[in-house]
Amino acid sequence: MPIRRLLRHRLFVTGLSLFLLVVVAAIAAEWIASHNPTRMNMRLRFTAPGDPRFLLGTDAFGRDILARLAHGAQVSLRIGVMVVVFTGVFGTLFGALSGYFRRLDNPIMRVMDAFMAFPAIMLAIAIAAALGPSELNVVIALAAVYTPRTARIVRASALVVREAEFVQAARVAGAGDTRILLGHVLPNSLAPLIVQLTFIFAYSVLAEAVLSFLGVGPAPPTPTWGNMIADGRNFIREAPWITLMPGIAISITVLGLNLLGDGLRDVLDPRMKVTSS
Amino acid sequence: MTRYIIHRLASAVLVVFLVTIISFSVMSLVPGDPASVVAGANATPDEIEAIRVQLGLHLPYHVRLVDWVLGLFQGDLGRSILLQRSVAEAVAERLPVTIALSIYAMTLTLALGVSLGVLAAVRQNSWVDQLCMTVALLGVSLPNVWLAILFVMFFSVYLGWFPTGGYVPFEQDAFRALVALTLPAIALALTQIGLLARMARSSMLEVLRQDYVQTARAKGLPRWSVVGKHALKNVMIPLVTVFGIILSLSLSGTVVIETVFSLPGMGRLIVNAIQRRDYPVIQGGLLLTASALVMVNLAVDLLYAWLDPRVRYAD
Amino acid sequence: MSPPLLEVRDLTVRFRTELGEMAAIDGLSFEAARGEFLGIVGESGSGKSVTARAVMGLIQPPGRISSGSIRFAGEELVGRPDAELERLRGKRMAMIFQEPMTSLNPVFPVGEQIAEAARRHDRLSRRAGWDRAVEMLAKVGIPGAAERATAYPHQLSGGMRQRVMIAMALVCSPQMLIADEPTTALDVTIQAQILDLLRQLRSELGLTVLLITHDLGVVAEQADRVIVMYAGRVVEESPTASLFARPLHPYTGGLLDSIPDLEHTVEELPAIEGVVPSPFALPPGCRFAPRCRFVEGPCNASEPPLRPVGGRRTACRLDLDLTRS
Repeated sequence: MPIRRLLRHRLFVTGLSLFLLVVVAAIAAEWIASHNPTRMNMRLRFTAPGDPRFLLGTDAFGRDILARLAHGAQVSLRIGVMVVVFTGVFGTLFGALSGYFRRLDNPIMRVMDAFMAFPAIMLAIAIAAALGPSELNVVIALAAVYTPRTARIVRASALVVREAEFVQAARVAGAGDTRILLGHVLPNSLAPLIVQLTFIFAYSVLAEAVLSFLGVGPAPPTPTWGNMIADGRNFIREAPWITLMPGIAISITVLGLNLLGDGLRDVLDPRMKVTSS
Repeated sequence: MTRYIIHRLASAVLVVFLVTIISFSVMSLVPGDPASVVAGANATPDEIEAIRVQLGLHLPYHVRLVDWVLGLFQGDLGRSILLQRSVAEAVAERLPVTIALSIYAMTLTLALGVSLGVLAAVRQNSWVDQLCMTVALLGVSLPNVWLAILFVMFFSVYLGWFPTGGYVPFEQDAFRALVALTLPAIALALTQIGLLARMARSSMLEVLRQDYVQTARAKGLPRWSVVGKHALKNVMIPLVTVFGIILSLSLSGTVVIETVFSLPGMGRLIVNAIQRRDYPVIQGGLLLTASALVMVNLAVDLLYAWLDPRVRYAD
Repeated sequence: MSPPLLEVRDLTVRFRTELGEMAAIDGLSFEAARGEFLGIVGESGSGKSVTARAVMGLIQPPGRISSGSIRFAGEELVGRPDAELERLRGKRMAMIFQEPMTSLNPVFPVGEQIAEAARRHDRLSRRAGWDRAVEMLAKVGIPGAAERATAYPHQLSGGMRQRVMIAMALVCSPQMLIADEPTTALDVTIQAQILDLLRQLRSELGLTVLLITHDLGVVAEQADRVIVMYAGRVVEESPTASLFARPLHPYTGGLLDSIPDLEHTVEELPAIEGVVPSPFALPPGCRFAPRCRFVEGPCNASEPPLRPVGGRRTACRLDLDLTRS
């Protein structure tokens, strides 16, 4: 089982630690942050970090940054997980069908290409804005943007499997397409798929931050890392921590995920070239 | 090779067709009535109806789509609801800014990305390698919106080396134009540099393992020739295909960078249009951007086919 | 008797791996005389390719030459800086490899790959280098050499690519050519052609050839002398004819036994029982002892040294009569 090798891989372990740090912070949001993230207190606005009452300070409305950060983590991680699930399911579906059935290949792939032709953030913003500000709509938008990338990866595996000798043998022995798809194509796609989905999680966190920053993400007063950065932008001189903290949070999460992805790739499929889309 | 060209051209045409449909249809995703959304919360039913007619929303989807496409063939991208000018004019004003920014960022990306990657590969597992790859990792992990804001705070506000934003046309003052674009270009390029460095390193490592590299050494060629001539050419050719991905990321990045640095470019045009429901601009902007990327990818693939002798002289 | 062109003494090459450091070749000693055709025979893992690369100075981390000496035309090669070895490689000693498809750079025309060696070592101009490349291509028997020189490797057949490799190796008239399994990846008929070419060029240019192979048949026809390697060491050294007629070492005997014979039918091809020992788990005594039919007590006690037996050498303690019929 590659799990043991994974645990010995330094990058993987570092990445996992960073990521779990964020996950724990998100899950334990209610406990570590004693304050309500949306409660405003104008008398205590712009408190600097290090204050015993507000460990990471407060923002322009006197809201506790730490609490907002922890709740923002919940949002980002929820969105990330949902995007990964959607992308995984639909990407595998389209990719497997496209790679395995020759006649479906061209139509499916051209549609995927069309979606990939738009710069990712632009398309995501357009879809999210059209659908309206909510977590689910951000997920839908990002899933639409990232599914083609996953489909490509699965398709590549499916193509290889389709031509493999043991598959020809299986077909001669009477195995149907469904059996081959489930029994051979899917297991072979698993390794590159897992690696790709890890990176997609990372892109989601970054993309969601941009969407929130531009006002197209989950609506206020929900704290998201993106809108925290936007909030703090006007007070960058007096209270730089308002913008600084969420950025650090995003960086830690994405760094952790990238290291996880690198580690997984090294162990599961060292021949895989470093691709980002 | 000719078969390949024809195949790629046909694909590109089909993809542009699909892109057109998607660009048009994105706005149909709006739940509820787009006309009232555009009109605003305080509009009267008459005003909403007027807007509906103005946008042609009273016509069915396929009629509107065909009208729009026919207009495209005549060069008519529609008229902006909010900007008091045609979409084509708005784009023409903004395009030079984004192009200037993109070229500046691309140059940085190609120069630094390839250098870092190749250097790291040639000195694999040394401290040089670790350093280059750490920089690359940070490049792809740190959110560029945040970095851009920090840059402004540190380099513009605190140090005063650069302006905090705004665009200076090159015709006016080339030097100040470059200075104004420097911070945005760096902020924009960081993610791409990271990505390219990682890919270049991985590609170079793969090539250095090849048998023909051993042959080159066995011939007594000096190290600079083995790496710089024999290995590098094999690395650069496939790396060309990455250019399209890099450009796409760059255009995504302009959305944020132009906003933070107040640059009147395409990215900001499209984002503002999306935020304010300016449908014609959204449709036109998305279509142009995506089509441009399809063309660039096509050009890049053809370039690759020409550069790689195995494809160019395929039997 | 002129001094040997190549003298290898007690050469040990180690590699660092995940499981620890191991010696791919261990205390290897042999010589090659000027103009001699020496065959180096062994199975995978015997260390024959590592030997070739060590002589050429191509061993890189995680491998290193840990001890021993390699003298070429009287000059010591071990410990010399790479820049100096670069001047020898290609110019005075050359090497050709097993897979001509992957050993040639796919993005340069073959003429260029030959010419650059001539330009580098003999300081020829672009024009002169190209002309010399075309000359060499003709010399190795490629028809339409001038045109072919502009072709890319993938446009040529396997046999032609190997000829290109040979042209590339010999363009600067080296004194020694090392051929690492040059025919293994080729069809049988092409194999014969390439070997004939090597023999022809050798007599024309007075080359010393080191032919590395696992195929005894190849060696039987071409080589003057044969070295048999096993688990990183030389186990037998002998002129070709006597090696085949009366091998001294049981391993050689086993190899010869397993060659199918056109004239006699057998029920089963004899194979040497057991497997090559892992470099991390070497036997205490003779490395071949666990698989040997003639093993005796002292064989397992300590490694027998290579001892001379009338003009030949063997690493077997015993005087066996393994004469072939």
